[in-house]
Amino acid sequence: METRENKRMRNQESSDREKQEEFESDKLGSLPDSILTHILSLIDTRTAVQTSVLSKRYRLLWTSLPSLNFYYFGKSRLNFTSLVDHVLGCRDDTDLTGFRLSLYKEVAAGCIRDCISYAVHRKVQNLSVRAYTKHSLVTLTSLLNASSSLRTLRLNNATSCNIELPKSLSLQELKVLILKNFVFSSENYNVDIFLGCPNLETLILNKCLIRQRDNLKALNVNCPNLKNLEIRYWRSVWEHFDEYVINVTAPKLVSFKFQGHILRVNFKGDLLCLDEVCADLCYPTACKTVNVRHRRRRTAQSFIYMLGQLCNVKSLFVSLKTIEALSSIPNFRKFPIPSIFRKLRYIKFTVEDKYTEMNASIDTVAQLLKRAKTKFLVFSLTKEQLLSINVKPPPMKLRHKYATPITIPTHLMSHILESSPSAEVLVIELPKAASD
Amino acid sequence: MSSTEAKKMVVLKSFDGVTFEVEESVAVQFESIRHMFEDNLAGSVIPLSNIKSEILSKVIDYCKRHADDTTDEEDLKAFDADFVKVEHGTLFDIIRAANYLNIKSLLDLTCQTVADMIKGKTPAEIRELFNISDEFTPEEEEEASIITRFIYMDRYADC
Repeated sequence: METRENKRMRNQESSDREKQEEFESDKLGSLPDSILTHILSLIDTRTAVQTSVLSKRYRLLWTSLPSLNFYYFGKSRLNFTSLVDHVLGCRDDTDLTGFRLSLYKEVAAGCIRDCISYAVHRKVQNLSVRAYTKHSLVTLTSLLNASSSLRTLRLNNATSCNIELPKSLSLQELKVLILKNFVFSSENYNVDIFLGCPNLETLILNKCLIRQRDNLKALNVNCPNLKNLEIRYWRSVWEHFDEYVINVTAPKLVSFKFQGHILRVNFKGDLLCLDEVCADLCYPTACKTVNVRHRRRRTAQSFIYMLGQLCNVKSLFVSLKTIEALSSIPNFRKFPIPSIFRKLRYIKFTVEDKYTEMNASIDTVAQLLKRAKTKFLVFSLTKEQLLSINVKPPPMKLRHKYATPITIPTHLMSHILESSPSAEVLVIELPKAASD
Repeated sequence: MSSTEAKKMVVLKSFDGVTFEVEESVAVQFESIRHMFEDNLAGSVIPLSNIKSEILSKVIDYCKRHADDTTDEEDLKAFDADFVKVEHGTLFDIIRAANYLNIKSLLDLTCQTVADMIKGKTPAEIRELFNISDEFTPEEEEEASIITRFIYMDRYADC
């Protein structure tokens, strides 16, 4: 009896050891649940659900993911919606931190509504929706206004009308709002849209526009706590660009970034907290039907008007394309409103494909300008990785192999220095040399 | 007074008894034990009974690099990319340590590394990668596959 008992115990021991070894061999599985679910929250939810077949350890982990990420690229819509239904139906009742729904093919509006409703119900903090529906619009007002937890809201229309812009929002905790591909019109726009988010700190408007031939002409961004404003690739028809305006009332604005074709932006007040302004302008460079030079000049004039309102800025980043546009203004002294940037200390010329960046002292540049009789200053990198400033492009053999020199018109450089008496540093980004 | 004297030091002791002297400016990143040296326990040794010396030294290395303001962003990125190129076991131990010490940026970095390994892989590939043995009985396997069948159907449909 005793021996049998011993044998049984020995067997038990060895099987325990085996189990232990098995468990130890799965080092991933030995991580605590909270970490594993965090890791599975970082990947798309479909793959996360699939891990349930790995072993018993993973069987139910996916039901307590703190963040869900659904992507749909087409093919088998039924399976996508049943995956969503399955996950939303079987998930436990813990709160969500993040929810992402990215659709690259049409899905029924109901599915999008269900997702948003579920996420808001589970007190989601970061919600990101790229909506794509065939016919119907997704109305957000009633869905979102129930949320007291939303911190970041990112809404993206795959085509122009998938999500209906809420007429008014009441999201007390919202800090970040990112809208992409939205068309503002008198039908959907209400002055109150941003007023309902008193704590908004970051607003990004990407590829948005005001509908043409509409009564709506001005968009009012009225945000008492806004710190960062980005307007990227605003879509307006060139002929009418100055008919529309964005009025910004944001006394605490710290950073303003503008990218794309010019647009009228009016800032109210002094913007005493303003720290940095980044500008990367676009304008037509080759078009048979329009006068490109005229457009470049209009772009530059409107930009200078915009910049004039931001004269409290401390750091200014301008792209090479923006400098090109500004170069089209022959004489800044004739410009109606001269602006002086008293607080401006840091100026940076940015390029799209940066190879390196170099510092130049303002004094050196100023002294060079005094002597320079040429129309241009050329900033280039020597073979020894040093910045050289010349009045004409240095010969190829003295240049760095991988960095292209950049050329700044002397009159523009002088104007920049004259309008920024406190400037200390000029930073120049040099683009990569084009490979043959 | 020399600069080394001016810096406040914190002494940490690993599970296997190795002590590490760390500048307070680096140790403040250890959120969960911060109160221990901030509550004026200077000079005393803080025991970290579940972190091996090998792992602790890596974690301290990481925090030193990230506390250094002079390192530029691209160098830091390169350092991070290199830092996670370790054996799976070591990586998971670092995750555990980062979780225990509550170092958010390190936890994010390491968890993202594991997530990137899993991304786009089939269960069979994940099993092989992490040496996970399939302990389901055939019946359980069948049940699991029924539950997730539509997922595979879609995978095939996408092909």
